[in-house]
Amino acid sequence: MIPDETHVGISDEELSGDIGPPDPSIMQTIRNLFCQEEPLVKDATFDSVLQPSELRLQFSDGIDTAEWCRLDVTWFRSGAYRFHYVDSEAVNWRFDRHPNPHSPEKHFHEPPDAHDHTAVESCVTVEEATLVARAVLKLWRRAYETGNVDQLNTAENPS
Amino acid sequence: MTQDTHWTGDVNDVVIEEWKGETSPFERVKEVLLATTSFQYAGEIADRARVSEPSARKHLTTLAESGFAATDTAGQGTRYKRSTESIAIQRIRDIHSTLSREELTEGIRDLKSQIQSYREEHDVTDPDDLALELEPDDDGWAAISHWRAAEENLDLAQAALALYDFDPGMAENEKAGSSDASRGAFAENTDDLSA
Repeated sequence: MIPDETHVGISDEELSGDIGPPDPSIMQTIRNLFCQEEPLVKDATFDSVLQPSELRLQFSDGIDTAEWCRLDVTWFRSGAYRFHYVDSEAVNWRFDRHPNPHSPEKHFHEPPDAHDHTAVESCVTVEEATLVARAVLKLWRRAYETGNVDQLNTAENPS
Repeated sequence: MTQDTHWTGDVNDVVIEEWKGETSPFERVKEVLLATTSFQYAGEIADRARVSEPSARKHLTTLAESGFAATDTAGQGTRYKRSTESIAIQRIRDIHSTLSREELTEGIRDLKSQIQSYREEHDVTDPDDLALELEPDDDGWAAISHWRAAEENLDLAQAALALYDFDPGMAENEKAGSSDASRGAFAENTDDLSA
């Protein structure tokens, strides 16, 4: 049986190159970082022991009126990645890096729907897994504390 | 709450400074090494880890001695990448300590069946062949990623299963009347080995 490829990782329609398999070792580093740095992370688990393809970071609160949120993270051997946010209000957004037919390699699928076929250039330009994770966490936290997703993909703070 | 919310400047620069502030040069070199899957010179790893080249070289030597780094000395100096064996051993240990013999056997059957489905669906024997055939706009790139993972996970699962038949601790466990004999030799030891 082939697993449902539409729900985990990057969808076929969005992908136009060889990104290698998911890298559980790097995802473990990302897991440790989120657990250390973010007190709202209450659970951090892999989807499978034998076939780990996604790290699920469950937060005990969400942005604005959302009661909870989750970041689904896949890091691939090539350095490609996917950080997908979803919350109890069904708001979705996603920081991605991978070859694709629709936008720059590093791109951001905007809230509230994070459409597969439309994305804008990402404000995250660092490339090391530990730095990308830190950047996504900071951008998430600013949105959480301001209750506003409009600035998610803005690297600078408004003065 | 945290004072970090209102950072000054570009978040990309801020996270680099934060990383440098929270970690030692050794920790950064190790973190970068563990994400390095093809050989690189110490200078390249130094740039990525934001340390000096002599510092990177010193720590990479230590990491090679302790088995975390693989080295290649064929070119103009030593190149480094993470040790595939070290990564594999960590995964095998994790799988073996979490899954019973029965769960592993079932998982192996499932992985073999997945791989067979990929072969039949794409009419090639391995993901490399499929990658050569595909154009960027074609469907199938996600399948290549999943297929590569399935091949690796199958190897790891088989190694983890083999550990059940190579279990020096088993006799003692039985003597002690362990109620959890379906778990592996490392079942009590689930220390996180990652960085």
